[in-house]
Amino acid sequence: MLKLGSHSYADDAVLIMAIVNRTPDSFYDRGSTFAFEAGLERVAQVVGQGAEIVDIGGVKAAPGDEVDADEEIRRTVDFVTRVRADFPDLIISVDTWRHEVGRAVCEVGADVLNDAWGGHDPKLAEVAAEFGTGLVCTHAGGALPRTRPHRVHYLDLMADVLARTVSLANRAADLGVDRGRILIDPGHDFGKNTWHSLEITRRLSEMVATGWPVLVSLSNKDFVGEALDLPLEQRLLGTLAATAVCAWQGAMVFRAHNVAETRQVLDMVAAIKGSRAPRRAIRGLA
Amino acid sequence: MIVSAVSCPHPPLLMPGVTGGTVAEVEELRAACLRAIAALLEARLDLIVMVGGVRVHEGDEPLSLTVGRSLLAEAGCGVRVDPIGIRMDSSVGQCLKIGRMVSKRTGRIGLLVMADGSARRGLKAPGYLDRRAFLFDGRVEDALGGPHPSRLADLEPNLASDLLVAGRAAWQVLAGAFGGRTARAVKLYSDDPFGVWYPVFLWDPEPSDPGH
Repeated sequence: MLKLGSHSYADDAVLIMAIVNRTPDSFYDRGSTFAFEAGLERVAQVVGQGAEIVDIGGVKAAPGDEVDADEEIRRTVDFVTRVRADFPDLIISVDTWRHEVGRAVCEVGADVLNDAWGGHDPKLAEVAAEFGTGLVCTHAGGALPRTRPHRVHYLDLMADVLARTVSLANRAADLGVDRGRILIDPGHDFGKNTWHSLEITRRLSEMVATGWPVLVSLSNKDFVGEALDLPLEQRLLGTLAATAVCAWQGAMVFRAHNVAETRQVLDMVAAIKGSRAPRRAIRGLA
Repeated sequence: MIVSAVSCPHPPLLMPGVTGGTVAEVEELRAACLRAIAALLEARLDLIVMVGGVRVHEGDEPLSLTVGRSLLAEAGCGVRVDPIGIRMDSSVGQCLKIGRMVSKRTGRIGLLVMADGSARRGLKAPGYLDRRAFLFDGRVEDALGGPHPSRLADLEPNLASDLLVAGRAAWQVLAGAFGGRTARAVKLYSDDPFGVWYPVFLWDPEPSDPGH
């Protein structure tokens, strides 16, 4: 069972974590929700489209202008406060690797700390334990935050992914993070080239088999673009294909830009799997 | 005696199949590398000494030498190859010494140096942008193009490391191998299609003066 915020989910649940960037320069939305009101509109929109979780981020993952902890807190805390007030039942995740930011957003009601850089700041898990929030444990191959992979090589990729994420998860649990609130994420493109990201997608079932709930963040990423040789704005279909493959193998949480489309893909996969009934079966049954 | 020398870059994407589909910029680079190696092989060699940097976590088959082997195989090289891996954090003195030892070997030797420049040459580069990269690589290009072997000895190891320059140690082996010898240099490629500097140069040394 996965617990996030005040909600509990069965093992066959599939949840959408909608990306809401509070950055002027993130790769996909390029600042479109940087303005406070635009950000709130986006939250309302994705909630309407069926997202159970919003993931609020203040620093883009790619290299660029320095954003220190104070600036990151300025970009996220007031926003989280307002979202918490306007959407009391919404699961709020904050995308940060820094414990100072983690503390600040937990104080105003964040439910999950989404650490995309794989435990770079070991104190972040302690903050999650202290506030009783959830934690995402991501494989980034030891990469420093906001760096690109350069000639990365793994002797055994999947072994590395499993070892790092499971040990982060166990460490978090030992520190007092509720076991039911910990997720693992293979970290598509983080410390990985396209071959690596495709392999972790193909072998996602091995992550699911660990028993920890699996989160995947596929949306419009370079591994999709490189598989199909398509630019950023044309990666939705490739993303949805990867989404279906991950859903089929048992991933539980899908971090996405395009919520409505992702919802439909997840619903279809669930219907195929038999974990949800078709909404309206009449044909041939009348 | 070294009768011919080539400097070639060693990105993983030069290995067969690594790019998946064919990528035009990579094929252009590959063609330049193969032209350089063909010229190296034309010199009636007894031996190829192949030098390449080794990263800290790399074991027996470092990337630089793996790419070198791959290019030599593509070029149909039938000459014996003696690979020398040199730690990328080797001191200048260590590199020059290894180069001098290579220069003293007997037989007709082709020296293949696997080396590339900074990976911080743009906003989209693997190492992002560091404007010092252009100055550093410019100095290497000047040294390779002169050629001015001794200028390669002046490259600072810490700066090279900061700028993600993979070739500093290998180029300093080249500097040690050429000592005071003069040569004619041909530039076959010098570009950074992906934010990493890839130089391909061929050195045709003047025959050593027997009375020197």
